[in-house]
Amino acid sequence: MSIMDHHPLNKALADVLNHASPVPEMPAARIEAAAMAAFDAQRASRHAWVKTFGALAASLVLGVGGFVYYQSWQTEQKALSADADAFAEQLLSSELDSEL
Amino acid sequence: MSNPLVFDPLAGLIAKAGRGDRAAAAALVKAVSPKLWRVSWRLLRDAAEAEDVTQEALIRLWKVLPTWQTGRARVETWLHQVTTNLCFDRLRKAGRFVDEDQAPEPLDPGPLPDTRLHQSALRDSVDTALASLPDRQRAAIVLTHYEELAAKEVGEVLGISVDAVESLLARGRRALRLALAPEKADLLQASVEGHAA
Repeated sequence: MSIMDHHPLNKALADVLNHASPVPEMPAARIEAAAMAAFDAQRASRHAWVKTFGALAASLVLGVGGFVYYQSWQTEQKALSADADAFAEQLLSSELDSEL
Repeated sequence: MSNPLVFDPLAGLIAKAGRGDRAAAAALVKAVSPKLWRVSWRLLRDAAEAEDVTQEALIRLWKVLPTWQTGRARVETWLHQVTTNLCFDRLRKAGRFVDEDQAPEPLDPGPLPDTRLHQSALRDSVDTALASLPDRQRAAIVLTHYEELAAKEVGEVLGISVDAVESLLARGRRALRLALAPEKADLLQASVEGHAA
């Protein structure tokens, strides 16, 4: 920080200029209302985006999960059928049937 | 080498507002908007335009809030930078931007009759003197004298070095001293009366 930043003349100059030419009063209500409306709009759009993304992610998880489950169920069914067929074949080819 | 962390008294409000806290956002607006209004009014000299710039700077703040990195910069410095750039853009679009090398050398107006100026005439003189400065000099004067920013911060706002800020200030002060020389006594009197009031 330079020496000039603390020079008393700076404050005096600011005082002199400010008293001679004050800044008009800020339209605080309008500025605050507009800023908060923009904040709310951005928050709402982010919230909507999060909801949409959440719904998409949930759909994707359910879809993939369902497909994987269906595939595994189908494989299991095939394996069961194959086991049943093999058992039947075994029964037919054995002497058990004639003995019964 | 990484920059040292910057202490920001508004960091707490920024973090809360970034998470969607409406009360924190409102407190932030109350804290910073008067400063943005003052800077933009001093640079533009137009209340409607200053209001637009103040609102635009706040809207830009909301946009960067979710990704704001605390400790990298003070939010007020960033807002001053945005505000100053928005003002310069408006001045350029309106063909009112005066660059350093386009500004005429300040002339000594010479002594005026020894009569006390009325307050409105005094105000006009100050307005004229400030308005006649090149825009970057005016911005340096406003940020240093009115907003009491350090030269380093003014440099960050204007995107220039501390030496360049001091050079702008020296030229701005010289031009103001020359332009306001005849009103010096009235100005000092106005300042004393202002403090007494």
